[in-house]
Amino acid sequence: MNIAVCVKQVPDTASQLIISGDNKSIDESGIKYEINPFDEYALEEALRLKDKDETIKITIISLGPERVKQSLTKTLAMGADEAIHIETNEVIDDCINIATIIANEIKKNQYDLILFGKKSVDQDNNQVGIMIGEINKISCISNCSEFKIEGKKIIANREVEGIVEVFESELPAIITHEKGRNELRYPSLKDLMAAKKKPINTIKVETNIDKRSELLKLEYPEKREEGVIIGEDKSSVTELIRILKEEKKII
Amino acid sequence: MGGILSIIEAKNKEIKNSSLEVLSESQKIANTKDLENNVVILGEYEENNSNQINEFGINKVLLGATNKIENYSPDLYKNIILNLIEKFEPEIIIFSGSAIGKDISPRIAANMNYNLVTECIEIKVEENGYEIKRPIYAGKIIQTLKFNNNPIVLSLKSNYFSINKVEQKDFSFEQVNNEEIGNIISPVLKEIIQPQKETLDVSEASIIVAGGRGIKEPENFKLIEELADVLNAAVGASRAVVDAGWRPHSEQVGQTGKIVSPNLYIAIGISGAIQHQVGMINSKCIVAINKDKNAPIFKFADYGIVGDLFEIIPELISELKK
Ligand SMILES: Cc1cc2nc3c(=O)[nH]c(=O)nc-3n(C[C@H](O)[C@H](O)[C@H](O)COP(=O)(O)OP(=O)(O)OC[C@H]3O[C@@H](n4cnc5c(N)ncnc54)[C@H](O)[C@@H]3O)c2cc1C
Ligand SMILES: Nc1ncnc2c1ncn2[C@@H]1O[C@H](COP(=O)(O)O)[C@@H](O)[C@H]1O
Repeated sequence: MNIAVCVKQVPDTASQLIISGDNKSIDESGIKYEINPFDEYALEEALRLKDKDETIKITIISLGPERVKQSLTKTLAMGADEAIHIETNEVIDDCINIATIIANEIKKNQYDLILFGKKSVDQDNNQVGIMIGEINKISCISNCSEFKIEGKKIIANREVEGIVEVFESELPAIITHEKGRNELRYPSLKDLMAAKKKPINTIKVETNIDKRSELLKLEYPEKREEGVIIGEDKSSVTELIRILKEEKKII
Repeated sequence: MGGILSIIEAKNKEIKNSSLEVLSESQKIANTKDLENNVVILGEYEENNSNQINEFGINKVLLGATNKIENYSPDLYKNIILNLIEKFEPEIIIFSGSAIGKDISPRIAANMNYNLVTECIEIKVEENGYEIKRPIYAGKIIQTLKFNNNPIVLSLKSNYFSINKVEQKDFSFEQVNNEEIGNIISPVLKEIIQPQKETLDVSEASIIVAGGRGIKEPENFKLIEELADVLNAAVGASRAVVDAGWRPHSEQVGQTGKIVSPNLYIAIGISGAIQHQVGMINSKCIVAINKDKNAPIFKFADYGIVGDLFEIIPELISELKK
């Protein structure tokens, strides 16, 4: 079985983000880049399948600038077999363009299962994986919290709005993954050394992309005003209840 | 070409709240730009229920015929909408941020080769296009994007827009044809698992009582549940306690959990790490109970009590019960 996992490199979720002077970009100095958390969960699921069946081959695909290689090396150290780096130095904002480029790369090989994160935590788009399903005419189950493979079928759970929907599909299929149930693995130093021997294929893409949106500006959200400490012990409870009932009228 | 296509969902014959937000916003755009607003209702809905939607300036209501199937089918929903796009050639297609909206909107955009803008929080009509605001980096930053006059697909951030009605207006109902559904590539829904006990989901609750590692033992969550009960609230949790297996994943609030904005969020024994904060900072009122006065949560809570939760919470429960 061939599995592809699409991973995006994003600023570490703990990063404090500073808007640059042009009001249109984020100051990149001091930002630590990581693999998008949801993509890491997706990769973990692929690795667990491979733990049970060594013949499974896992290919990682990532679109982005040179620095993406570092994340790709990490995925190889975690246990993926090879990586494809679609290199672009231009920032591509429109998801439909990102999806089209990655969809083209996916078409070149026969993958039985293609895994995505449900969303990227930098742009919070929630769409690239689902779009690729439509572009390449591959069945897609989005927002899965867990899945299993039975023969040529995949059965996946979507936890939505208080219920669990169980979807079934033939392979090949696309899954966009939620935070998983399984703990992530961390590569050892030895794994990292071994990863250096695994291949990263770089593909350069044409950059005459039909840009459809223009970023006008970035700004910070309105800051929440610092609140008040009502008190330090049990006696503050009555005051809290009074505020919530009488002033705020929310209970 | 032109006009709006608003994608609305009904559940138990009622229009969902997130869809009323869509109707409210689409009527505003229709009014500013003098566009027709056609509305498709997906799910079970009856024509004589129209008093729920007749104050949103709608031109025509298309019943999606999805009431023939009981459950969500990506292919059926997708094809109905694609057929309507072909028929009306809308310049703007608006979804809610519901689970179905999130799943279908990218399918529509990809098929039409349109841009999709998710999580919109402001849509401004400009002379030659739209200016749209949306949060990025989990809300740490707001971006403003400009789109020219090409057709686009939008989905709105749920619980964000207010529901504003205008004067009553008549509209016609039309049944949508879904006969020709070819190229089935999507998965099929086999089963729906209902929760074991009827609990309120954090993403829908107007009050959330959330607990973190400060609770110390999974059994102590009884306290949180009891408080939630008295307040008719949903129970939420930090990732620390979800990863420890004390609470189900569906309760996790934050970057890799649910993003919530209830009227009241009570954080108990939660430090307020940035990844938790981004999931609840848009709550209307935040109360924090933590024994460490330097906990980050106090930097953005409206009201705080610095103290031992094992003293405060039982007191709070008994006072509320009075
Ligand atoms: C990629 C990534 C994604 C993440 N996503 C999420 C997410 O979605 N949601 C999330 O919550 N976290 C997330 N985290 C984890 C986050 O960084 C924190 O580790 C987590 O939120 C801490 O949980 P906590 O506040 O319960 O625990 P702690 O930080 O340990 O805080 C416990 C608090 O309880 C207080 N306390 C202890 N005893 C008492 C007592 N008796 N009475 C009152 N107060 C007491 C302490 O003072 C302390 O402030 C993520 C992290 C990463 C790296
Ligand atoms: N530049 C990229 N390279 C590889 N995968 C990506 C890229 N952008 C998005 N993805 C994948 O698509 C998912 C959804 O992203 P998004 O639609 O941006 O929220 C991510 O979790 C990744 O799996």
